[in-house]
Amino acid sequence: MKVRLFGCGKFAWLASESHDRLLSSRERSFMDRHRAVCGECERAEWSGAMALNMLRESSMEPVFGAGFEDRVLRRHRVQTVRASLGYWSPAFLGASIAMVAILAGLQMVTRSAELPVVPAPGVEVRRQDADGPKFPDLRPIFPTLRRMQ
Amino acid sequence: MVNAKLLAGGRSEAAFDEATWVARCREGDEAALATIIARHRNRLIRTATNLLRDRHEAEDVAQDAFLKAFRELHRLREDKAFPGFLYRICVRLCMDRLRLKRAEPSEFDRVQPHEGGNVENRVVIEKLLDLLAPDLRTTLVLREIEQLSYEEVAEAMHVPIGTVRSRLHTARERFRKLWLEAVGE
Repeated sequence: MKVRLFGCGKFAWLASESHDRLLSSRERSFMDRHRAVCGECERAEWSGAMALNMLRESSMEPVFGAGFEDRVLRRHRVQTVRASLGYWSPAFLGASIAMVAILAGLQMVTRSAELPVVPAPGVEVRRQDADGPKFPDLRPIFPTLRRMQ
Repeated sequence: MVNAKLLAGGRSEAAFDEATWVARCREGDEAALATIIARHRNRLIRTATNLLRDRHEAEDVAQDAFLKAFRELHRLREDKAFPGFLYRICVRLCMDRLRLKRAEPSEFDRVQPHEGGNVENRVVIEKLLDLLAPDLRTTLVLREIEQLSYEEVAEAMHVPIGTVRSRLHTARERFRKLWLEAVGE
C-alpha cells in the first residue's frame, strides 16, 4: 500500500508540468528532495514518462486515397443543390397551391351554367320577381337618388 | 531579430493569401475550394487519424469538416481565422464520434495484459485511449501527439486554458495507471 507523503500531490503536478515547461530551480530542487524520500513518486514519474513516450511513438501518419479534393468538391456541389432546393421549396409549394386554387376558381366561374341543378328534398325554392327591387328602396330617404335617376 | 521579422512578414503574407482564397470560396469559386482543401487536408487527416485511430473514419471526418466549414462560412467574421475555424470543426466532429463510439458496447472490455512484448505497442495504446473519456483523450492527443500549445488546445476544444491544464494532468495520470495495468507491472 502506498504511503502518501506531504508533497506527493505537488510532485505529481510538477512531474506533469515538466513535460510542458522548464521548471524553476526551486521547483526542481523540491522534486529532487521529494524523489530522495519517496520512491513511489519516483517510480510514478518514470512510468508516466514511459507511457507518454509510447503514446508519442504511436503517432499515425495520415493516409488518404487519391481524389480526396474531388470527393469533397462533389459532396459540396450536392450539398449546395440540396440547400438551394431546401430554400426555394416552400415558395414552390405555395405557388403551386395558389395556382391550383386559381385554376379551380376560374373553372367554377366559367362552367357554373353547365353544372346540374339538383333540388334538395324538402327545400322550397323561391324565385325573386324579375321586376321587383333587388335592394331596399332608399329613394324616399335620399332624394338625390331620384334626381340621379 | 531579422529572421523573426521575416517570419512574421511571411506569416502575415500567408494569412493575407489565405484570406483571399477564403473570400473567393465565399463566392463559390471551385478552384479556391480545391486550393483550400489541398492546403489543410494533411493536417486535418493527421489529427483525425490520431484522435480516432482509424484512417478511413479520419478521412470521412476530414471531408465532413470541410463541408461543414464551407456551409458555415458566413459565420466566420475574419477570413484570416479560417484555419482555426476549420480545425475546431474537425476536432469537434472527432469528439462527437468518440462519444458515439464510447456509447456503443465495445468488443474488448479490458486491455489484454502485455505478454512478453509480443503485443504491438500501437494496439495497446489504442485500447488504452479507448478507455479514456473523449475530453481527456482529445486533450492528451492534441498536446502529446499533435504537439499543440495550451492556447491552441484551448482554442480547438473551445475551453479555457486552465481547463486544458487540469484535463491534461488528469489524462496523463489516468493514462499512466492504465498503461501500468496493461504492461502488468
